Parts: sequence; structure tokens; C-alpha cells
Amino acid sequence: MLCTKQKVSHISFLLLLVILLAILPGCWSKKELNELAIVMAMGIDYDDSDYEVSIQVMKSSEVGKSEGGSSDGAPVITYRTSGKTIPEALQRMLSVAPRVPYLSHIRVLIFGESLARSGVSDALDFLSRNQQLRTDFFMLVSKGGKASEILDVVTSFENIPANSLYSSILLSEKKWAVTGRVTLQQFITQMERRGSNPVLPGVQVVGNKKEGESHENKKRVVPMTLLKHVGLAVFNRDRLVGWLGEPLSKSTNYALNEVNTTSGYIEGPEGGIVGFEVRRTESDIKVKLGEDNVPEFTVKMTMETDLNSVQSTVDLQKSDTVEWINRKIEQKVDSYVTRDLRIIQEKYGTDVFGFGEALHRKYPKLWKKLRDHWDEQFKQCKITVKSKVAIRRIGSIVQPVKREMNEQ
Amino acid sequence: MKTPSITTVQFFILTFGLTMGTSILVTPSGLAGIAREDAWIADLLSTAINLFMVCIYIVLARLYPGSNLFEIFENILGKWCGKVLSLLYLFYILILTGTLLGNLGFFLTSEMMPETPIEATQILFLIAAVVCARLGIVVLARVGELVFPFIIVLFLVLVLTLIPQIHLDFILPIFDDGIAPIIKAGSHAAVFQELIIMMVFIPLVQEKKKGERAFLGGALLGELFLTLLVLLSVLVLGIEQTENNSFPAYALAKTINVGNFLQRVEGILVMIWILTFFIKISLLFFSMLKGMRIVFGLKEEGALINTFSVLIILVAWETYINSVYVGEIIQKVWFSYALLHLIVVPFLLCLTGIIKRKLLRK
Repeated sequence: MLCTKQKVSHISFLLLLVILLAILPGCWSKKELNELAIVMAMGIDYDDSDYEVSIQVMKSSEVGKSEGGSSDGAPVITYRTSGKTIPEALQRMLSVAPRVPYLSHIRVLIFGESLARSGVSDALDFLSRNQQLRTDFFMLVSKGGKASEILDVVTSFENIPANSLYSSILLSEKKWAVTGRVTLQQFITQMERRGSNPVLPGVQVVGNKKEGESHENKKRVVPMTLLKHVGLAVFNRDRLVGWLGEPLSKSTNYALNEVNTTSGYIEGPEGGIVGFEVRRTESDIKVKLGEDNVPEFTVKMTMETDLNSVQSTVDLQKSDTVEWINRKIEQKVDSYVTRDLRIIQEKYGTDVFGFGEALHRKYPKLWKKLRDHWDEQFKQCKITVKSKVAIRRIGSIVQPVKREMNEQ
Repeated sequence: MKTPSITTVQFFILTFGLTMGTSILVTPSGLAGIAREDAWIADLLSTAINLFMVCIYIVLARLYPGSNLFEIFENILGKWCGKVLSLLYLFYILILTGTLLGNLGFFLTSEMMPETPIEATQILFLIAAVVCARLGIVVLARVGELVFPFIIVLFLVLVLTLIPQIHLDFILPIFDDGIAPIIKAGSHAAVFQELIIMMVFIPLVQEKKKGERAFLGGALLGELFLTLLVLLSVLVLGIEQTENNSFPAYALAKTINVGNFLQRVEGILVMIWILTFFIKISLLFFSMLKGMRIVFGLKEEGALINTFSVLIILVAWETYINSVYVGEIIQKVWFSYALLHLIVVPFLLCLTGIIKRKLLRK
């Protein structure tokens, strides 16, 4: 009797296991790939009282065909809706889109300029509160326009416009030093700290906006419409206050230690131009207290450079020449970057370089006194740049071609 | 019935699991909120306080070798007073278990599985603890031994993969606001380490001396891991985002990106939390059952398991209304409540025990 009872309990236990096996491994909120609309880029605009949200969704059926080039449809679709809050607008997206927008794979996020000017912190709240969104996408501002315009352009090199923007940012950050790669995490940290302000790279539609929306744009060798990365947008806390052109953006990136490689030129000793390529830079902010405890900042930079184009007849076999070029580069970098940083300091009065944070780290006591009116204080600080340049390589040939030609 | 026994290594791992469990999810935000850049120093302070607590417990255990927490109460305070104190402790453990279960449910549903009902996640975890309680402490100890390497390896993965994202600037300046916030944050963090629970299990360790060392060692290792995590949170996320995140450690895991290749691994790293949480909640469950058995002089505790699991889940639903509410309770009430149970009472008991012993000798 006892034996059978045990058997029964064993069997019922096994049954329970089987039932559990059936229930537990299933995913409660499973979503197959074909039920999702994978959002590659999101644009946020603010219009009077509503957020206008545009999402660029990948059309997976078209993406696979890209190799043959036989696809007729666009590889992406851009949907646009508006709402009082961003999630509300996203919900409304379902009225036009057949699938649920899935936000985890966003590569770039674009703010319209008017939203950026009126403050992005409310939009950032949604972005950091939402559990689907990660912090690894790049943020951009659409210069002089709406974010949605950027998402309407069909790009020909990269099939998916969002990817095109993404890799442009990655590359230009590495090679060009004029734009920047700013993630949500960085932006929020810089925005919330008193002693620093964020920057965001800008992007613009160049050419005919209407033409760019059509697939025809892809079929041309010289596209009618292109997306162009245009310098940095300067923020004061969460508001955009101005745009930096190419030289100012580059100088800002030098101060922020965001430059990897870039190139420049100086006037040669005997006329002509000597071009150089910056291979590696490292910059550091030093703080010193001047009179009346007014902080003075020095940006110390060390750079490794290569000569990449010598449009002159200098004698590169003499180390004196190289030494001269070296000094000349230092002087140029010092004077230009100092000038640019001072322009930003005077014109916008917003500390995008994190000087305040450097002060905070070095002189915490003084910082406590200054932090509440740092913006005004920042304008009175003295900024200097000291660079140390080392020319490492001069390329595959020694003497400039023009010199060789003249000698023969 | 032979009394079960656990080895020193197992005891070490259980202590470690108890220290890490759930604290690993939430500790950084509280510390960074008060101690700012010095959060990690505050956590070192909290480590010191915890080790001091463990020393008190060890002295208690030495006074009455072979007795567990609840038996010690009765030994020191006499039968009836001891039972009342035991009940107060049992209530503390009950609320604690419920809140932890609530916390885990909120974590899973708000970060990973937003569409799963919170009750489902909590019940699943409770079922695991119930099965564990039926099988006994020895099985839990073995499970601990089994999962310990996984916890260590995953934790190392978390730490090592985050190194590229470190900003050393983020922890400067040191001692920005002086020592006061560090002390405040450190002492706050210390009372979330319910190491006294291990007093229920310390008699099960055969080798007393080694067991004491394992107790200290487990608490130390767990705390050092937590300190490392706090340090990483501040170094990677910065103070602002550490303090404003509901689950900073998870946000930390989300930022892992090694060469655009090793990324989106937080789903795997959640194993750390889940495994340590399992150890913690099972230990709490066991200690509650044991306490009930001793207080009411029951022969077996098996009958209580199901009843208590229902009680715990109800407490979880009722106490953890939302994270804001719990956060406020933790700020206002829990600190002193836990302080009483973890330091004040054991310390007084220790004194009474020693005095009693001296009087008896005379």
C-alpha cells in the first residue's frame, strides 16, 4: 500500500515537471523578428506644444537584396507622428506602422534645432527612463532644420541612412576631428555637472530636399542630396546656444582630448606650404590660480605628427629644417587653438571644455564658491594652450619633389 | 535524525552569497547619492563596520558554542524573553525577505521583462527557495559550491570588460565634502548586510575556528566585490547617473562594449544577481523556519514551508508597492530598525552574556 502511494506521488511529481517544462521555457513577452519594426534612427522635433517623433525603420526584406541592386523599394521607411510626450507619439506610430517599433538598436538620435534651442532635458528623460533604449547610440542636431528632414534622405553609399550617419560619425571622429561622437551617457554627465557643458555634432541636408527623399537619389553618380556633418553645436546645460564652424570645432576637440588624427598645414620657411598629419594627441587641462584667486587654465597637448605633403622646396635632409617645422607647428597650434577657445569663451560663455570640472578636481574649496556663478566666472578666466609637437615620420620620400625638380 | 553539517568552504560561500545578494543591484546609487565621488571609500568604511559586526557575532557564538541565534537568545535572556526577541527577529527577517523578493521582481520586470507580471517572477523565485527548503541546508550549501565559480567568473567578466570605459577623473576630488558624508553613507550601507543570519547556520560548521574565519572571509570578499562595483559605477557612469539609476549595476552591465563585438551581455551578467539572490533568499527562508521551530518547540519545520512561502509572497506584494515608496521607507525607517537588529541588540546581548558568564564563575 505504502509502495503504491509513493509511486503515485512520484508519477504526479513527474507530471508536474512536464507541465512546468511546458510553461516555463516559453517567453512571456516573446516577439519574433517579423513582428518588430527595428528602429535604426529616431528624430525628435518640438513644435509649439507637441513632440514630433520620426523613426527610421529598417525594411528587412529590402536590405538583403542590396548586393544585386535589383531592389525597387527603399531599404527603410520613415514614420512620423506627434504627441504630448515622446512615448505617446511612439504609440501613435502604430496607427501607421504595421509592427511595434523596437528601440534597442537605434544607432543615431537626431534633435531638431528648435528643440535643441528650447532645451532637450525633457526628451533626455524619456531616453534614459525607457528600458529598451541603450546608451550606445550617437546623438546629433539637425542644423537649421528639423530632425525629420535628415531621416528623409536616401543615402547611396550605405543602404541604410542611419548606418551612413553612424559610420560617418565613427570615421570623422577618428580621422577628421571636426565632428564628435557623443553618447547619451556622456551628454547627461556633461550637462548635469556644473563645471562642464555638452556639445553635439551637427548634421545638415545639402542639396535638394525633395529629390533626396526619392529612391532616384541612389541611382545617380553625383547624388542630388547628401547628408553633411557640420561642426559642433554648443550647449549651455540643455539648450543649444550656438554653432561652431570647422576650425572652432577642431580646437574644441583638441581641448576635449577627442582628436585622434587630423591634418593641417603651415607656411614653409622659403614660401610654399608644408602639410602635416596629426597622428596621436593627448591633451590635459592644468589649473593655476592667478591674482585674486582667478583660475587660469592651460591646455597641455602633446602631439605626434607626420609630414604628409611638402609643397615647397625646403631641404628635408637637414634636421634643422625639421626642427624649424616642428616649432612652427607648435606655434601655429598654440596660437590658433588659444584664439579659438577664447572666441568660444567670449561669444558663448559656456564651458564646453570641462574647465570647471578640472578646477573642481584641483581646488574643491574654491570651486564651492564659484560653482553657482561659473558661467560668468568662466568668461573672465585666462586660457592658454601649450603644445608639444614631435615630428616622427616624413613619408616615403625624403626631399620635396619640387626641390628635386629644380635641382636637376 | 543526524544533524546536518556543512563544510567551512560552503559556509564561506554562503556568507559571500548573503553579502552580495541584491546589494549588488542597489548599493551604488545610495552611496553615490550621499558620498558623491567618495562612494567607494564609504563602501570600504561599510566593510569595516560589517567586519566589526561579524566580530560581535563571533563573540556571541563563542559564548554559546553549538547554539544558533535563537537558542542563544533563550540562553541569555531566559526562555520567555528569548522567545519574544526571537519573534521580533523573525518579523524582521520576514519583512526583509518580502522586500527583497519585491525588489527582485521590480528589477526583472522594469529592466528585462516588462510584459511579464511581477507576481510570476516572484513566485518562480519563491518556488526555487521552497524546493531548496524542502531539501535542506546541505543541498543549498552544495548548490552554493556549484555556482560560486560562475559568480566569480561572471563578476570578473563584468569588471574586466568595463576597464576600457573608465574615466579616472570621475572619482576626483577625493574628500570633496569632508568626512561626514562618507560616514553617513558608509553606515547606511552597512546595515543592509544582514550577516546576523549566518548565526543561524554557524553551529552547523564542524570546525569552529575555521568556521569563524570563513565567516569573516566570506563577508570580506563579498564586501570587497561590492566596493569594486561601486568604484566601477562611479568611474564608468559618473556620480550623476549612478545616483539617479534605479539599478546602477545593470546600467553598468549595459555599457559593456569591447571593440563593438562583445556587447549587449547584460542578459548573461544578470546571472550574478540571480544566483546570489537565490542564495540570500534561501538562507533567509531557512533561518525563518528554524526560528519558528525553536520558538514554538516544533519537531519538524516541513509543515511550515508552504505556509511561510505564501506569507512571504504576500509581504512582498504588500511592502513593495513601488520603488519610490520603498526608497522612502529605507531612508526614514529601515536604517534605525536594521541597526537595532544588526548591531545594538547583538552588542547588548554580548555584554550581558559576558557579564552573566563572569557572575556564574564567581
